Amino acid sequence: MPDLAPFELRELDHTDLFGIFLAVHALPGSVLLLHTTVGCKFKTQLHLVEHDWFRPSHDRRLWTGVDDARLIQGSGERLLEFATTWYERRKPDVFLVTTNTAVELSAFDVDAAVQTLRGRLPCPVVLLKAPGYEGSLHRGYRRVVAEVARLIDWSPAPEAGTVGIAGYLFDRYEMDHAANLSELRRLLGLLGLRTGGVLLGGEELARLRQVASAGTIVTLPHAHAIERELATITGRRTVATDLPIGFAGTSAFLRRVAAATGVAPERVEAAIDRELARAAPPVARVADRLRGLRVAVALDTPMAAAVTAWLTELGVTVPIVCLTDGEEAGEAAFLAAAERMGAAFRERPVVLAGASRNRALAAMRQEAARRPIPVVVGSSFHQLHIWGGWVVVEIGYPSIEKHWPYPMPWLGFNGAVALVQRLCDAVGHAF
Amino acid sequence: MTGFMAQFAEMPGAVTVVVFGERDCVNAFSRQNASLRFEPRWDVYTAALRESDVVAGAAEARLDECLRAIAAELPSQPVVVLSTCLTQVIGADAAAVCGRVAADTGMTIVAIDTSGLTPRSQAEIDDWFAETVVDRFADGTPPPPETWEFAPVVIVNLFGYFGERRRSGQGDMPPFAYEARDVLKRLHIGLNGFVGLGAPFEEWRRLAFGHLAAIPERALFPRLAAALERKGQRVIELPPPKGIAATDAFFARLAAEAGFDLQPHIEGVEARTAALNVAEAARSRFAGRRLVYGIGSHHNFREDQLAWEGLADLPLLRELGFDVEVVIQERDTPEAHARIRRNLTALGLDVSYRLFYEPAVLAPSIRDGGFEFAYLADFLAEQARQAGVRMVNLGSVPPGYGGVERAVEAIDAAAETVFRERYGRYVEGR
Repeated sequence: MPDLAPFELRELDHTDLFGIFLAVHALPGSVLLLHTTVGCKFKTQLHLVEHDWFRPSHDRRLWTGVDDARLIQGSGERLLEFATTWYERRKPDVFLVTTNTAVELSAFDVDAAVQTLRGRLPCPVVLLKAPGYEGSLHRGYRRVVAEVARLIDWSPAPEAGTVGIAGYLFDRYEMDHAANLSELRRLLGLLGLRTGGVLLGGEELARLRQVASAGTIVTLPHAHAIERELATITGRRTVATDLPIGFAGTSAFLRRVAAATGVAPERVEAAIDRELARAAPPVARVADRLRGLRVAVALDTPMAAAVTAWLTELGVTVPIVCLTDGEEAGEAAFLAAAERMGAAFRERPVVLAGASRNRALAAMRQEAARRPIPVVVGSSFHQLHIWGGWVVVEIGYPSIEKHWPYPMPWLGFNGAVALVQRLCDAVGHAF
Repeated sequence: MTGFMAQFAEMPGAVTVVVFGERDCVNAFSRQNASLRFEPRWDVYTAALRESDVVAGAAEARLDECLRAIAAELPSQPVVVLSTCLTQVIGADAAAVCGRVAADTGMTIVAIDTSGLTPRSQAEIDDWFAETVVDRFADGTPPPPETWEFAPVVIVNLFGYFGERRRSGQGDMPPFAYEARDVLKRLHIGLNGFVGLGAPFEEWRRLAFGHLAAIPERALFPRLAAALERKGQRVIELPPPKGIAATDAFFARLAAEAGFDLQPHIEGVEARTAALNVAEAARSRFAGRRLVYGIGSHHNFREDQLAWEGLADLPLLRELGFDVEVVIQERDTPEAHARIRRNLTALGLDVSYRLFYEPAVLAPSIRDGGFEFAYLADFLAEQARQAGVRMVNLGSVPPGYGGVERAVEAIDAAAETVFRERYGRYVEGR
């Protein structure tokens, strides 16, 4: 029987293009010039408009208007004219140009046009081709992270006790990210480290250049694939970590960073102790009531591993995990990361890695039919469960229903407590 | 493809859609904002063409595989295959594959050449979509006699007055559908199909039956008009009923088609009486206040906002007393000015206008105009905020008498002043 699975939509079907655009959104002062056919316009801003209520992204995207005639005649000249005109209007710090497969197959003058553009514009011009048959949101994002790293002058000597962070997925300007970044800086501060900069964290290139003061680059999971590349580009020591989510996850993060930066073990353990002494008591007050709660998790692999690990620390049962990062999703990677972050499975969850949205949802509903699952930690794409008596704790991208005028992190010790707060809200239907 | 998907994403479960392209092509429509998001099963598929399919000339084989997999799991639903830029560039023949699989499986499979290599306007796509439904999916079967509870003199289809989007899960039609059904019943007119972006597929399929069809602008929807005429319907142009006068005119024209004078039949229409009261009260608040009305920026495939250059909501805003000026996202060329003046004249509107070349530069223009209110596409909210004006989302003016009250509610909500008066200086222009 023919298999329909390869043709089904996933929750997120993005290839590199949207990831590149997301990174442009996270880098104020940059613009993305789409040298593509018309449909690609809608693969960018349209997917952020409901997710980010704080800052519009429509003005970060330009389109050269490629159509059949321009493909036949050659579109390089159009690209040059358009980019030059729009440089004058926007004066961006960085000009990123992207193409799609249709243009790549038929327009052979794009590379030459971009080369000319580099000589013509006073800002960096970066060409990132984005065929629609491969890649991912995360790959596109980290490609920009690597390019931004290349634009930074790493020749000055690093400052002692300064670290940079790479691979933070900054997808909107709401206060969840402000809180996360603040918590990350605070965590590193516990070790006596200063954060030189975050690639990317909503700061413009001029400020990001300060990241060069870092002697160590902490690479979060979405930058692991470019860790070596970053080490080569920056000449700095790199340390790959999991996401600092939950008590054990955050503690593991601190220990790993401390080991890489030469912070004494007793200092990090003392810091962890102080934090837990503050954060554990309020969690303990409610953890008893959450014990045995069944929660489904539907997130990308690194986030799912971290959240699941924290849930299991709380005594919450996670019967099913759907890894939503498409071809990058992996059950082995999930289990290994969850283990590193202290997951305490009483029963190993069913893990669906990169399954289509139809199959993932069917599996979750089947599991819920077996025994109710009152809460899903996932994205807006699981909100149908509201109608079925499920409550969705939206986290990450896309969060269309959940917005943050108030700073509430999910990273770090403070984020761990905040996640417990959200679980309590979800369980009690009291928001 | 984007336009067709915008329509199909609002009618999940009715048609199986295959996007004949790369995986990323399915991101050319918003699944976040569509009814599709809430559905437990997404009947949208991608041929997920890989580099090897393109290089080896195997795109058609991949589509064949996809369609046969669909036939095995979902044999009863019609299938639509939408082509993309890539399949056009490589010359892949979707129609041949669809024909072959349809012949083998007995399924209805329709290939539509929706490549983005030839950009089309939103109205062109809506027109094409509607024509496709009428020609390929509507069977012209008369509805059962009990449908209207009376013997209709005329059976009418209304296209493009849907206004508010139906949300899947609620299952109901927008308020104007009920209002129109009620008023038309008084005129012995049977309302058959009531369609537009957001209408259920079953409603669309009714379009092929009826005596008369009303569309918002004939020049904008020629393919649909021709398709309906091929089905034996008379097609008339009726501007969207936005505001009391426009709604009166809308129903008066339909009444005339049935051989009636509208006036005696609308005396008891409660919605109209309520609208008159609401409008009168609203005028005391809004009369003379400056409102900027933006067109040329929105991208939502809503027929009532595409018709009449997007100015169809303007009569209601003027009825409420606003001093309106139009801003148009358009290149400043002599041809553009000529066309805009021609359209405004055709609409009988003596409003001034100004042009802006891209959304990011709208705020200064609004600030210079001394406006208090802005009626703009939602994504321009930041521009309105920077200009310090009260923003009403384009599309907040629903059709019909009932639409007056809902429009006033939306404007009142935007005009809410306590927070702004107390704290606006900390917010505006930042």
